[in-house]
Amino acid sequence: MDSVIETDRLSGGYGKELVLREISLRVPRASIYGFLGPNGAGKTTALRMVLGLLQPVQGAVRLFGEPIPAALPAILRRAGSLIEQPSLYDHLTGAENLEIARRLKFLKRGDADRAVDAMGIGDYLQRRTGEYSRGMRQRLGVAIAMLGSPELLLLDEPMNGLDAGGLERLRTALQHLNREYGTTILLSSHQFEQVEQVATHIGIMSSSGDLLFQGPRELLSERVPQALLIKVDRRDDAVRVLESAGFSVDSSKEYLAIHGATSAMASEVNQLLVSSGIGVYHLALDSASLEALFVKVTTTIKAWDAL
Amino acid sequence: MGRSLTTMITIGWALLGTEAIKLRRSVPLLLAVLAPVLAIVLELAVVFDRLSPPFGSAAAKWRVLLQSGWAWMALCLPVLIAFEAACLANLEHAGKQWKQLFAFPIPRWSFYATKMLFCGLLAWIGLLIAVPGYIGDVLIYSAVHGLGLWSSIPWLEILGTAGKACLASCLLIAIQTWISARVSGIAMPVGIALAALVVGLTLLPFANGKIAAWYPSTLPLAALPTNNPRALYSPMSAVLFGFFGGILVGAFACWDLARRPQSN
Repeated sequence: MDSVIETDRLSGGYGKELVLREISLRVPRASIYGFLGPNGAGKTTALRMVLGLLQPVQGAVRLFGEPIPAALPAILRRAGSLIEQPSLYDHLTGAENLEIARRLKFLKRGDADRAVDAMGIGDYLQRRTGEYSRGMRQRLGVAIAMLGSPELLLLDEPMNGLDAGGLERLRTALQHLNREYGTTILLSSHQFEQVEQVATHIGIMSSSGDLLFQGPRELLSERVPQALLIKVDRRDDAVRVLESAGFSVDSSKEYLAIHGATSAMASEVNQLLVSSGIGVYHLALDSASLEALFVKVTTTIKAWDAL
Repeated sequence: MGRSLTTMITIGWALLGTEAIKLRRSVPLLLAVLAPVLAIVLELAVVFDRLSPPFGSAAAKWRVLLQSGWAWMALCLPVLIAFEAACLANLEHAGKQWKQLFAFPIPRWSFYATKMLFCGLLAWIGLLIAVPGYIGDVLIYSAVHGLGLWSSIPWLEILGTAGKACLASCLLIAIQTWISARVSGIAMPVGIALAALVVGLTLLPFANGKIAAWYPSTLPLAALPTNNPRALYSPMSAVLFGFFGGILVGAFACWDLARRPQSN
């Protein structure tokens, strides 16, 4: 699968402070890439470098296979972005702010309508953005980034300040863009629950600016050790069989549990129990939330190259 | 060649259109209208403060009566330019717009060039409002004192003088836009401009005005017709220096600003 965004050992920051440390991002085409990390991990810095707003100290960036900054600014025709908080002219109305962005993207009149509908901001477009609430500003900022249904959408903390309705609209709009237009979406956030609902791929940054993991969402679940929960007809026999095979079994709760399991291990356990004539009622990896996986990754894994 | 020209025209059109939208209900536009109105009112007071009406031909009377107006204009123009440049740049600084602008498929330098162009346009619009106002002031004075200047308005001379002041101010426009784009806020760029103007006015009497013809803040003043027979410069040299200096410094400023990383 080809990558829309590729960075090669990208390092950099502001002044002498190094925020990013040799990160090599691979954002596959038509994916929704959840770029996760704690505050200050360097997510925004990475996005700025991808757009050519900030020069890396070391490393290279390629957008659609073309080197940055050499391909700027023409390559930006294919991208929409929202970096940090929305940049709006507060003395102008929402419609005027959209019009400025439409003209600077060389889009036709009416091209803004789809983004306006998607983010549900039609009712307050005639009001000055200085009067907007934080959530309204965020919606307008996302709508501006979405103008023209770009091939690549870079959204930095787009969920900030959005209420439940706004979050729902944003998720729907992102999934619609991704499905209908094949838009690749890089979504930086520290709101794991929200990202979990839309992301097909995940990248996890540590607080020190290292990229700890990246790859498909399922791969993250597979690569991070989880608890394998088992329910059988003959509990004591199952414990004996498993322990004799070298597994450490936690039998303190209703379900037997093998901590630190992977999906490969689940298959092995199942075969072992069945071949011993033990009836297996339930055998599943504890489906950890993205947040739980994030915590595991950032606390137990130093570095992975998942691709 | 043809394609790149078309692209440049498309980009230029988009930039002009968006900059015009940004001016709606904005301080820079308000300034361009209010500043000359203030100058017109002041000029009226100055004209009526004369002890006696001027003598000589109609042309000579016009020259004398407009003299203080031109001086006002030459002093106000650098201040207006400083405010316009700072307010225009602040439209982007205030909303942290630069990063958003640079994420559009448009060369960075062209955003700064547009700012310079609009700073000049707004200052010159102010001049276009001030000049008829000055003429109105003189005509009111003429009516009160029965000078009969209605039929002898020296349009060519007036437009020529105003035009020269505009061209001479290009260097100042480039410098102030440069400073304003680099420094966030209004106080610092305007403070620098006012300090520079005071320095320029202090230097004015030295070397029979020669320094004024090479000093950005006093170039509009140096571009005015001079009655000083000992003047060591020609107003046209101030016009040429201001205009071509503005183009050169403007180009360098655009290059400098575009290469800098944008932190907001």
